[in-house]
Amino acid sequence: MIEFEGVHKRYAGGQNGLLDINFVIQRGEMVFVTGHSGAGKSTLIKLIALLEGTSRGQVRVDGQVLGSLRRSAAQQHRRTLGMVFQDYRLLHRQSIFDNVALPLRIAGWTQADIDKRVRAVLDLVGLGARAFDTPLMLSGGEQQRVGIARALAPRPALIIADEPTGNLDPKLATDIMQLFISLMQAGTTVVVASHDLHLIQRVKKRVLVLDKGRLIDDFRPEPAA
Amino acid sequence: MSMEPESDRGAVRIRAGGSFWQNLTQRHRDAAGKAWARLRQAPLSAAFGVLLIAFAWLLPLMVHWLERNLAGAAGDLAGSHGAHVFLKVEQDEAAATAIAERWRVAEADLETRVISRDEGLRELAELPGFRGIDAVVGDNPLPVVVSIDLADPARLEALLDDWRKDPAVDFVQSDARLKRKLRHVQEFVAAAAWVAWLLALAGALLISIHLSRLAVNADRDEISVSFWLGADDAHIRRPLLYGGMLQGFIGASLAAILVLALVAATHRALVEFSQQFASRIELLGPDPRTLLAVVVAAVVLGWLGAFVCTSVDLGQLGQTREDIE
Ligand SMILES: Nc1ncnc2c1ncn2[C@@H]1O[C@H](COP(=O)(O)OP(=O)(O)O)[C@@H](O)[C@H]1O
Ligand SMILES: [Mg+2]
Repeated sequence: MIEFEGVHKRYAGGQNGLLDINFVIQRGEMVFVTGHSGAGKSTLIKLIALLEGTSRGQVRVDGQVLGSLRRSAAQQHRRTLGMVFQDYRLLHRQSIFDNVALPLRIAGWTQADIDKRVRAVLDLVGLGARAFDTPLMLSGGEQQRVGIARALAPRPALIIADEPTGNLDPKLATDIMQLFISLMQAGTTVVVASHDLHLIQRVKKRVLVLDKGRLIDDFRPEPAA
Repeated sequence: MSMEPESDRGAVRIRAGGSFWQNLTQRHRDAAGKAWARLRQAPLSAAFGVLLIAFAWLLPLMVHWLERNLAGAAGDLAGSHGAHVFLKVEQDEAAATAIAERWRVAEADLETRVISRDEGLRELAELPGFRGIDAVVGDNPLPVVVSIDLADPARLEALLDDWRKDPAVDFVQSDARLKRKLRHVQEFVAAAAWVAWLLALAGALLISIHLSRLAVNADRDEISVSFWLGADDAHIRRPLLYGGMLQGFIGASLAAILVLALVAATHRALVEFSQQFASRIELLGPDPRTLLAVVVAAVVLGWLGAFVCTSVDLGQLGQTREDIE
């Protein structure tokens, strides 16, 4: 489903984001991307979401070479995935409900379907009661969950999440991981960038390890006994 | 927190149900609603924008109104020829007849008609603006007038110059000259109208571009996030187009209402003024078709301005490359 082939990413300022990255993620897999700060995790996520382009090499999603997509096809590509941003990217002037409804409005859902779906995903992340608050009335962890709800709302076949549990306490982090696992079990492909090694160890899914822009390991922990 | 229910799992469906028309009307309803919400979010700048547009249309509408009334006045004058020679008041009708006969004999093709004081008052009372004046004036203060008709305007001017020096003549009013003057004024006003329309068109367009740009800036967050979430250009553009049309509509309607109010006020003042002479003055209002055309043009230009703005600006905003951290 996701293929990186000889991918380099060099930012305009000369910083190396990624160096010669190669891997394949199958449809329905759940994969962690980990590494120290600055290792290139966010860069990798952004390349999949086409929020950045590669400097060299190819990123393919469902066989499509992302770098060759026209503007409208790139927009279409972003609509098919659910992106969780490291800094949430919520709209502070709009209600939680409207924030979560945004991708559904973009995708042209009817109001009735939007009402139903937004309530369902807000309940899913435990924020059903906060629908008509605005993001700044919420804690960091709650905002993060709104960001997750927004990514899940359009029922994407691919979820990419940049440090989705960065601001959650361990209990909530585990709950969110359980949520991702249940999505994965239902057929959704899930890519999670995280530096939380404890969490990654608990979940026991495939891990890509980045270091200074290079992919230095790609392993699957032994299943729990 | 709970697990995603069974029925919700793993669907690949991106677009929810609803017929083509349902989806279309929903998109447009959403966009119009957003445009309206944006206006209400910043009522002061919205009001300022609307006022700017209204002022842009006010000038040509006023000139148009002036033009229309001038055309009406010219129409009233169209039937008259030649000139009127007003004799001194001490000249009675017999003297006037003699003078007129002297002039007629001296010039081939010249036609004269002596207008008596009574006749003059009656004619005056027929004019718009002096209706009923004959009823209120006691002693007839009018002089005897000799009405002149001569086909050759150059010859007529020369004769009028002569007669001005005649001791029996008080003053000479050349209808041809009056008409010519009026035509000059009309031509000038027509040219001014062209300029005013062009200025209003350009102004309304530029204002709309500028207002759209302000709207883009005010909602930069939402627009960027929407792009990151995969919004297409049309989705971003639609509320801005509606916003442009909405402001154009309100602005032009406001201009139309202002002009109508102004005309009504002027008219009322003139009527009050003329009532003191027991007469009526009829002013023409602005042409309703012109008002309608202005509103339609303002809506189109509002749309166009937003379109131009988004064509230029959204290219950059659509650049999603941005540091996520
Ligand atoms: N927008 C950017 N412009 C320039 N350099 C960047 C940008 N984003 C990331 N980088 C650089 O790329 C490298 C990888 O960053 P990033 O992918 O954010 O790492 P991580 O998410 O693992 O912390 C870092 O050296 C960082 O400074
Ligand atoms: Mg990062």
